[in-house]
Amino acid sequence: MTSQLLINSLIAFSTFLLIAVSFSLIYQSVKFFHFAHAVVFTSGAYFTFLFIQLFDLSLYLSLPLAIICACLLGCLIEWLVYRPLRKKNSSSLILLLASLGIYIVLQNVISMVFGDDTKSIRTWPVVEGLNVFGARITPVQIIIIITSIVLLILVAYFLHLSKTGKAMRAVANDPELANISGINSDKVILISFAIGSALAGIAGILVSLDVDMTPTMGMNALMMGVVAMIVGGVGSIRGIVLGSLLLALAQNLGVWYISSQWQDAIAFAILLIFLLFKPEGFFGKKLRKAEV
Amino acid sequence: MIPNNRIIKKILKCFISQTLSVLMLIGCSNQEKIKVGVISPFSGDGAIYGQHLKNGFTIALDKIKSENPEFAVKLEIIYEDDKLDSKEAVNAYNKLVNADKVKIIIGAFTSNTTLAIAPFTSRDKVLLITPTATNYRIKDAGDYVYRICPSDALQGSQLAEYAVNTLKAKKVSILFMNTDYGVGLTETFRKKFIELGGEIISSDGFPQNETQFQTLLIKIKKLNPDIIFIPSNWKEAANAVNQAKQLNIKKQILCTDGTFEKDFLELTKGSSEGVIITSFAWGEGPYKKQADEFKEKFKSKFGTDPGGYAALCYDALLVVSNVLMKTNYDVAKIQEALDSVEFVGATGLTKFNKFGEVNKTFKLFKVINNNFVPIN
Repeated sequence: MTSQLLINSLIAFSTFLLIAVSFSLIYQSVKFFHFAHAVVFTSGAYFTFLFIQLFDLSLYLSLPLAIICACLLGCLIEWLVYRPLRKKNSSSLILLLASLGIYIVLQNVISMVFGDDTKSIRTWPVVEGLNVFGARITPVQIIIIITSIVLLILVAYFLHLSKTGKAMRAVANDPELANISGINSDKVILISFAIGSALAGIAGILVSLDVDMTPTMGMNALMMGVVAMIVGGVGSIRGIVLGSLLLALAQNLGVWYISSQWQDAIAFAILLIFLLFKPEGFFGKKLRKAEV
Repeated sequence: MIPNNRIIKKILKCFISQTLSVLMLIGCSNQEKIKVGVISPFSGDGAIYGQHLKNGFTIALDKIKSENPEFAVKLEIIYEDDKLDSKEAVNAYNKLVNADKVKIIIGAFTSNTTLAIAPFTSRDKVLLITPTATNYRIKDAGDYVYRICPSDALQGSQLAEYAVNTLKAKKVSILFMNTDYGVGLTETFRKKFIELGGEIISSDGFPQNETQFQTLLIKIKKLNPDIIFIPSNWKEAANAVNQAKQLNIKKQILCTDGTFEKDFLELTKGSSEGVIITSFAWGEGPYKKQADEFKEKFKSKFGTDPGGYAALCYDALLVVSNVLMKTNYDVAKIQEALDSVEFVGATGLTKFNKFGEVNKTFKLFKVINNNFVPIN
């Protein structure tokens, strides 16, 4: 049973990780709560469903197309809404309200187009999971774990080694200073949205392959990703890994020892504890009032 | 200045007379309209239930139009969406009662939303007829509350009897949706199961819209029960049944009428074989003719066979219409007529006892070759 509990935690960890990384990339560059990220996550699953059902494409062709569409959706939101608002010097609160508005509108569009009932992109019947050290795990869940870890490594390499990644980190640290140094912050923010949205789209597809999809599935997933990001420390990939792991283990142990009802409460209790006693998270930078 | 004043006066006169005539027209049309409020989920996770209701109502309205066109013209149905949420249901109820001044409401669809609005009906003297909410506590929810479907008191005990007598189960694990529906069924099942000598070895709740059941299921697997009872809506039950299969749990699973949906079969291809599900019983016995008539009309209109929920909603609107045809729009008179109603519809005889309950029953089905097959 312990091995199964660990496997379950590993599956939850992988989804939290992917959502947290995708959100963190965007959050670091724009510094406001991009609520509409939840609907970008959901759109990945629904675009796949659309390509399979409406255009009769195969799953393997639908997947990359859906990821591209989710990526474009994120970029469009930045390009059409956030960028004009930033040009008007809108505060983070205005941007947050705009993102909430986008989330509500797009989620309702998904409901209107596809209906509110559960949709599935699984074309195969449900089968018993593979036996790994006495625990059961399905091929889809193995794909979720591998994809998350591979993408995490790629993102970490990209941020630390590529020129664009370094520019993203520079904009995250200080957008004005980055601008002075010749970095086009708008372009860098757009790239952050593109990568973050593509990752969110992938996460949405992976979750829907495992437990199907509904138009409202995004918000809860996003909340868990955000908790993992804050607990781990904003801006730290290592922190996000630890935060996701802590959250996944705490939730699964909570279900095992207490009740399924307490999953969200446990997540937010952890968040509160961190905000009170270690607000910078595991590996986040301590905020200093004045820097020379 | 003088010509301008004249023009203004003329415009004002014209505007006032037009407004008065429009108001009079509205007043006249309102006087003639017989309003029936409807509370059901039409969007969100329970939208499929609202679809069942509207489909059943469509067939009922066709029947009313053909049999009593004068009444059909007067009948005004005001739909309000509760989004499967108790708070939204109360808002919808307040809007119907205070703004639309309705005296009779069909709804709500589910137990938690019905139980949320039921306490207000006595205060406001508004009649509430739920077509589908099965929770056993609705029986005592007030003098103004009626229901067209049978109670979970029967569903839970029928399932417990089947588990003990036919499946020879001694130990059961319950995985219930933590809503009035899931909790109510858990209580009625538990009571009967223990009474028959069985033992409840675990009882775990999960929130509505839960998708992850692996950890709950391995807890159950460790306890090794004879059967697993899952009182829940179909969406949650589908994930639980799928994950039980993935975890190689081969115990007999029992589900309830909230799971009796074609979409459940779609989502659980390969994992739901052998699952036993209750659904409310209709379409057989002395009232088969009325059920067949409804089925035929439904199929020609929508191209699919109707489920029990659509039939219950069809009957609910016909019962309400029949009562309203015979009385004035006065609560005391409508209630008097409801208390003595004997209506035979698609779901059989609707005759309310002193608690506003009907004498209908549930039936057991087994999933065989991805179909619901009756077993008793």
